[in-house]
Amino acid sequence: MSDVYFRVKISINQLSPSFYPTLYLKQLGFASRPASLAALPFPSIVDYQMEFGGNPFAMLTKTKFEYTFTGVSSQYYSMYTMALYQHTWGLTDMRKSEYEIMVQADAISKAEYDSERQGSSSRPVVSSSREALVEAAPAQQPASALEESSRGLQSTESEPVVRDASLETQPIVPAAPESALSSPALSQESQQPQSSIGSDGGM
Amino acid sequence: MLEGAARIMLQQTGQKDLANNIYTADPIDESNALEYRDVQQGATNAIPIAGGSCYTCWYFIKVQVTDPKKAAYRITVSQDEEAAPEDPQLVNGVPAQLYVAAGHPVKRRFILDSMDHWLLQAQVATGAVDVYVGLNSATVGPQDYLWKASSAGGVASLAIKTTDVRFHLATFYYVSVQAVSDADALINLSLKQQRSVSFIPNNHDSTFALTRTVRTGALLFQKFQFTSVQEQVKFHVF
Repeated sequence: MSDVYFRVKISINQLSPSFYPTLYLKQLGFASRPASLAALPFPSIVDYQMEFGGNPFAMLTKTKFEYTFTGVSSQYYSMYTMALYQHTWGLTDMRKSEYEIMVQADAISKAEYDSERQGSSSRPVVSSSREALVEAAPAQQPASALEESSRGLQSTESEPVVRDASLETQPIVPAAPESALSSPALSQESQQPQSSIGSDGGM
Repeated sequence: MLEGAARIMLQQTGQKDLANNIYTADPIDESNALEYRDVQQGATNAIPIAGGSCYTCWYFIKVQVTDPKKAAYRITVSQDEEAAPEDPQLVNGVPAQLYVAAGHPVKRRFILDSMDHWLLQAQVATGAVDVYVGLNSATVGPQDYLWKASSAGGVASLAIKTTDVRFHLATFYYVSVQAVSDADALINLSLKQQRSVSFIPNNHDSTFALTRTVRTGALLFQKFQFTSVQEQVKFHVF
């Protein structure tokens, strides 16, 4: 089967107060229809290919969340498994959240796919388990899809969540020219360099 | 601290920190920090966090420097593995055959990533066993356990509901299997949890709301209804 390129848009509406979702996704591919959805490998907070809504401070007070990414599949059945963590960050007494979710998946041309890939940053940002996933998943998913799936992360405000995180800062120096910091297709939020966490800011 | 001096502050919000939220858990200074350390140039300081200190916690770290122009530091968050040898892990859906010598408990540990109900079952081939499940590998047993099952009719079974107040997401539970009599035992230990999955069709609005018979505001609040862990994660496929 030839490669199929697609764009996915996930829209989530908040139906209960102070609901802030964090999404983790894994892409799967099958030659035949899987017998049980529950038996599929699902992502978790420490094992995922894509993450959306990872920076809670960027989401506060918002009621609608939209995330878009592109992907490619060479298998007849291409599926995404998603774990949606329902955070309220202690801002409400409600312990169970309500939400509305819509997924729109549309086929796109390879030209569109390539142009969006070129517009994204060259440095993929993925979870700490990426290496393990790449080793475990080559039969399931082409490497190009993995690379592309990380692009979705960059289109959000998220910072990478890693188990062994390390951050080093240096004394503040005069800002570099803007052209050196960003690629043209990235949103304003994702243009911020990682060191923008700052030397005296909360993390 | 590579250059300059800093104060590192820690706060948290989690399932049991009912008075804290994402705003109040952001440490402003040492007065509202859970813990803090002063670090001088060339020195390294650490704040240890016990794994069992809270459930589903988010930690907030603030590093305060006096002069950002003269400060450089490296901060690391890492998982410190248990000092003692870890118990072998019991995987959901993969049975393990265990030989339990009399007087020598066999231990396993497991962790679950969804809040669906689960079943821990020990099928006894020979002998009789007691199965204890607790939070501490070193002490789990007759004196320290959350759940206990005894083999009756050849099966020791623990069925834990999703609403059990002692059941938490992403928490290591330790299983201790002990032979009841002087006779050794041979068992098949299995953990079963069926994940609830909601399929999302393309271009279709899907609403996920509470399922309850009476929909009143009061019922929504934990003080009146949910004494157990809330549903924290929902699984979808598209």
